[in-house]
Amino acid sequence: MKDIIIPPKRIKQEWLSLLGCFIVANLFNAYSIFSYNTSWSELYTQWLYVVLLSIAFYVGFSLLRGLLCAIRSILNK
Amino acid sequence: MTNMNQNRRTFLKDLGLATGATLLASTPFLSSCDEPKKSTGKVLNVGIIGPGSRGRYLMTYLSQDPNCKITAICDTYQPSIDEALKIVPDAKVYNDYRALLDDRSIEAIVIAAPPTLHHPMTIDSLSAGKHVYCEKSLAFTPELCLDSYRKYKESGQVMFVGQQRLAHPVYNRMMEMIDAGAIGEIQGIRAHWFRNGSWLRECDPKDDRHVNWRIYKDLSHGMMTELACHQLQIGTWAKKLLPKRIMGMGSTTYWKDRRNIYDNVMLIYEFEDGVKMSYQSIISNKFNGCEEQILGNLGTFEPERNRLFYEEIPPAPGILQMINQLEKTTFKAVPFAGTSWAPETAQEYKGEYVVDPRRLRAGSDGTDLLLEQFVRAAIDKKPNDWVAQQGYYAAVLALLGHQAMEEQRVIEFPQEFIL
Repeated sequence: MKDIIIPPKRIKQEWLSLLGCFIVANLFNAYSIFSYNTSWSELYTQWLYVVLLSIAFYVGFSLLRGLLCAIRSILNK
Repeated sequence: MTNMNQNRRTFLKDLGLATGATLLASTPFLSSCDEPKKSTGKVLNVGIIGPGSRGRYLMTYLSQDPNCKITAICDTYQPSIDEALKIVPDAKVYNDYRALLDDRSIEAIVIAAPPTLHHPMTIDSLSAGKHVYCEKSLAFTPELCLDSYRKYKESGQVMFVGQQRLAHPVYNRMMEMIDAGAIGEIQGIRAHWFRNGSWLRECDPKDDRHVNWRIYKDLSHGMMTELACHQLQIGTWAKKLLPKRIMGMGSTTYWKDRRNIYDNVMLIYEFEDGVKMSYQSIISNKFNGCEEQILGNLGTFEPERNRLFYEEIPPAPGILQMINQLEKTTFKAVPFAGTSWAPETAQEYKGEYVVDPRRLRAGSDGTDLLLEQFVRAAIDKKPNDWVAQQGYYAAVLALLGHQAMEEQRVIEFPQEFIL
């Protein structure tokens, strides 16, 4: 069995992707506060939902990248 | 009339309940809600008069308090003595409470005998220089309650009455929040206590009045002194007023046995501003259980459930509303989409906790806390007028309610019973 080596550059890329998803989730939270006229304290009180949403965005983004990668490799063959 | 109204308006204000700080000063129970019992190094010697079922309940807490030692018990009913000795096997036994009071080593007395005996036992205990914890109600008539209170003031001893909600952290926190305007202005108070049981205990017929004193009019005022006094006191504590007039009706509708007390009561206590406190109790249906509701224009407290309900239900967080909205928009055209993963916006408003339940002592109804405070006050020799007055007025309210039912008339709160 071959060892899977994940280069540091790749790891950094994934962390940045996750950070990006976290920022987007926070922007989503802020927009929802504005839209529904709820308390701005939800920027921090709803941190758990923001974290969950970040993970959901990251998973969705990863699936999308995986799909694009698969399509690209099929087209290249 | 003006003076009477002013007296009612200020009866608690003068005791320093106007602000949160003074509330804490006069009711130091808030800080003790989750503290383990600590030994102060001093031990209070306590005698128990009337170690029946309630007396033994108090004894279980007292015997666990490192600052307290039960050194004597007194009863005329041997089975109660036998059961009590299982808790405190080394306690000295008396059959005459006066002999117990002669014991100079005893510093405090817990009175858990039937209510007709509370007045003479309290008077004699205070006269003997003992601190007194007297189970509710303080006495059997408003006149005797007043006499007991005056004796307390004259004695310089500590006197607590068994109104355990005074020490319960939920009730204390609720009163703080009411003072701070959490529910706005109180518009109504509702209290009820529903049970399903006869109160009868099996015993030798010759011991019936000794064991089942609760069902006999000459020994008990039934639901008013056994149950109502607790909850009426909550109403006046919240409102910071005494009611101006009282009306009520009582009857025996279900437990038609040898009892001559009511098993079905309903009363209204009206305050001078028109706000009413209603009280209902039935002991043949337990569906509604026990609760007090303090109804304000902004919200409602239900302290037995440790809940506060706002009139304006807070909306769900914006992020949840947004997710729900997106989900409805995205999936409405997809017939196979099943259960939503996104939590719904609040369908059923369950209110807010008054006190974080994790901070409450499991199984405590406040009795243990009140006893701890009594022991501490007795050791420190610090009478607490506020506590004594709450006990006094709780009894008077219940007794006047009983009188209103018996005489079938509206009673104006007598001026002579205002302290």
